[in-house]
Amino acid sequence: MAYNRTEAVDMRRMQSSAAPARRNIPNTRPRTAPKPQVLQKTKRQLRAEEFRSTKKATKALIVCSIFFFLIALQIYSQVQVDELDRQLDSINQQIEVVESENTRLNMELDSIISLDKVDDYAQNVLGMVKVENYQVSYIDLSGGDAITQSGGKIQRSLWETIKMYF
Amino acid sequence: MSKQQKNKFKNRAIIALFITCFLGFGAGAFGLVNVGIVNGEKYKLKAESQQLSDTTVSALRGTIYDANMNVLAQSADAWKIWINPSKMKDDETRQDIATELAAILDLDFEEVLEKCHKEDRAYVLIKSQVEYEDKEAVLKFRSEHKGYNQIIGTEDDVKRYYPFGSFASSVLGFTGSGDVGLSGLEYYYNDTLTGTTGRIITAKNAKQVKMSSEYSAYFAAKTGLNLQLTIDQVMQYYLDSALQSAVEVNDASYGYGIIMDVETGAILAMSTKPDFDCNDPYTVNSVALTEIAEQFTDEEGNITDEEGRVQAIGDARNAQWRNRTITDSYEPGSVFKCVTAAAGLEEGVVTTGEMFNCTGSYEVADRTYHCSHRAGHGVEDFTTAMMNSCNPIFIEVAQRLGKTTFYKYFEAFGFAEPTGIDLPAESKPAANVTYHTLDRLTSVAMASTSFGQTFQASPIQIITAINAIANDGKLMQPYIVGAMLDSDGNKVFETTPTVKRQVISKDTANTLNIMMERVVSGGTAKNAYVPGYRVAGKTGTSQKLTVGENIYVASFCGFAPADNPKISVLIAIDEPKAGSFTGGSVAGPVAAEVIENCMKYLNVEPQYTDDELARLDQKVAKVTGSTVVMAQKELESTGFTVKVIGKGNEVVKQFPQAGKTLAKNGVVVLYTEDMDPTLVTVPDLTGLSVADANNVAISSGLNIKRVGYTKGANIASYRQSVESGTDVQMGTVVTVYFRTEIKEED
Repeated sequence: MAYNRTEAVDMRRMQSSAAPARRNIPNTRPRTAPKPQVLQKTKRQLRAEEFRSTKKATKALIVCSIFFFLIALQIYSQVQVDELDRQLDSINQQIEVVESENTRLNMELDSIISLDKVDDYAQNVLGMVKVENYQVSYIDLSGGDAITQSGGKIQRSLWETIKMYF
Repeated sequence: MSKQQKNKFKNRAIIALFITCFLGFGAGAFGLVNVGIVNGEKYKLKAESQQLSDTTVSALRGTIYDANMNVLAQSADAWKIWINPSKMKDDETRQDIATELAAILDLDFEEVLEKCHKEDRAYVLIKSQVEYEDKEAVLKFRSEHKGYNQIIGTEDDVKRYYPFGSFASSVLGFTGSGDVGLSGLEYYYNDTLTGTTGRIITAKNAKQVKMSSEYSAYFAAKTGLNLQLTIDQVMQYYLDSALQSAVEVNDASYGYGIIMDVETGAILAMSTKPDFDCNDPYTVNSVALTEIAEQFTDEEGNITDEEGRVQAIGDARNAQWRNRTITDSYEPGSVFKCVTAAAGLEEGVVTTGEMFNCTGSYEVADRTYHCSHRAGHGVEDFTTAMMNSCNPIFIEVAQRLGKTTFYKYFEAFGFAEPTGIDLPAESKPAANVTYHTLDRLTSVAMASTSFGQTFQASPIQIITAINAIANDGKLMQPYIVGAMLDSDGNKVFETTPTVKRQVISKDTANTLNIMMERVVSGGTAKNAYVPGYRVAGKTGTSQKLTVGENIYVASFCGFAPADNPKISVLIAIDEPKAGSFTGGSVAGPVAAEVIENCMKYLNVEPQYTDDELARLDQKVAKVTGSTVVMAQKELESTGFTVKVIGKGNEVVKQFPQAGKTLAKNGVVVLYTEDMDPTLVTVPDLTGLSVADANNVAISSGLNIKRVGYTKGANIASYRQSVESGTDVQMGTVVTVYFRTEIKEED
């Protein structure tokens, strides 16, 4: 295939180095196609060019990948948010149900330990009797708290001590 | 083409362009105007409904607590179960659904099946206020059957729980659909208890799933305020149980009672019996159902009048919801004599020691009034007249006061106005219908009014008036809601006790207090006597002439302790039919039971007299491990009777156990061998004197605990804690209730 050949053509060589002829001066010389000059590139140059093009392609690919990654990330996060919203909604509903159940069970418990049932069970099953008044000792606390302090040694004057003997 | 033609073409092109633009932009503009202005609201709603989720957050109804923050009523989420009969294709589906729903929801199969046959309906409610477990069972059943998703559905609902069922039901009331209060406090404080509904508006995505919180607006639901009542659960229980027993023992139509805090006017307990279960208010109580069944069923069990029966059930339902302590009124009878006495003493027209002569009758204008004791009480002082509930003396006091002054006190004590208690449907005194106004208060009417006849008052009016005597003459505004709390428990409102007016002086109140205490210690209210406590009160017996000749309301109203009143108590037994009908015989013992329990609960120290101390029961000593001889000697020395079971020499078990209390000649059973307890049959201990009841009990190997009035003559037992015929362990203590028969209409 011709595309795989390594010869190059220097197009500059096909152009005349002289200044362009004025239009009013007819060109009498017959037109002959200049012979293209084939330049042979070194392998190193070719590798460098290939590297550069690969680098460009890689850069483009990376940018595209980042772009698509960000889009995917955005979509994924949205999906996650939606999922978490759904879970939150579900948990909130569960909390409501559990709170209702808690209320219902508390009410059931209260009804089981109502005073009439406790009274009935205590008297008829356990054989307990109500406390009698005289079994209760009442303590009068209306006087408030009182503090008794131990007295220290009384300092008496000589005259008071003498007076005590009379 | 000529220039003229060119211009013509150009002009046409411009016109065509203009028309095109006009039509194009005009259509666009029209569309904008149509969508934005003409039908803007419609499209706005459509867009909102498509893009927004608007969820209503229902506010929970406030909780009702008693004075000690025990929950009396509380709401929780529940569900409605509905069906879409139009989607049911065949009878097999209907049968299947009806069978399963009836089983899960505890409903009548036929009723559910009937609902399933309403093919023209797309929504038929099967049951409301369904609890979580039942709802889940229904959903499980639905998920197990293909196509049932479109037939069975659930909806949010709310259920109100009353943990103690019929406890204070006439006060609390109940709620209906949507948790709306329909009766009692639930109705009166409906606006306070009902919260404000909240909303969550959220954007929805393409799949109609709610989007994150950044796209939502939340308007929080505001829970209703909680009510803290002045009702005390324990005192309410004492009142409820005493009234329930009284209604049964006296075969009465109703029993109602109130306990009021003397100083504040707060209602500590309020009860009407028979009542209803707040959780199931539409079910008529068993007593009424039995009466209706007897009335509308023939001997073969066929219903004689279905329409009448349905009407009677409806009436019974309405009747059981009534809080008769505030909605009903009756002639207070002799209880009102306290007001007449208060007016007389305050105005100085009578003194406690003034002597009167009761001849058994008293003439006013052309009318002759008789004393309940037809022969007359003879010479007696004013206090004794009060103790004897002597009508002529009180007519005399009223005549001395004169109409204007008498009416002034009648009005001052609150008999011409409703009390204004915070409960619905309080009966309002109707001028010249339920009482006589001053301009129509003739001498005859005043004479009748002076001893509590020819006018009516509600129980709440009566106790409020008597409470004023206990409270140094200050008439209080009764109230039942002590405070309102927000959802965090902060008090947002607190009721302040309100003194309406000073109706009598403190001195007069104290004098009356002593007189009323004498009524209990030795007068017509003997049955309200409680050993160790000073109880003051007055009994009343009034005839319900509008109902029948021998139909009565027996009542007692008083307070305790008389020397430092803490509580006022009113007991009324409506239409007692078991023989006794006087306030002293029927209501007095109930009041004693309630007062004794409340005094113990309030830690009021009893002060026994020597006589009372001598009558107190004694504690059984521990004799297990002793020899039989020693045990017998020890127990008999303290007055007990000993019965020995077994042939051993040592006591291995005793009954009653050590520490229990018995009457002085009570039976203690000693077992000398490890054997099963000996059983005895409880005899009928009613209708006996104290001594006879004790003897019968001892001869049966049982003990009695005496409750009620046991002093003086004409004492008889009227109730026992263990039914006769029951087998119990030898030595068991049976509580026997005694009362003295008060035959005079007091």
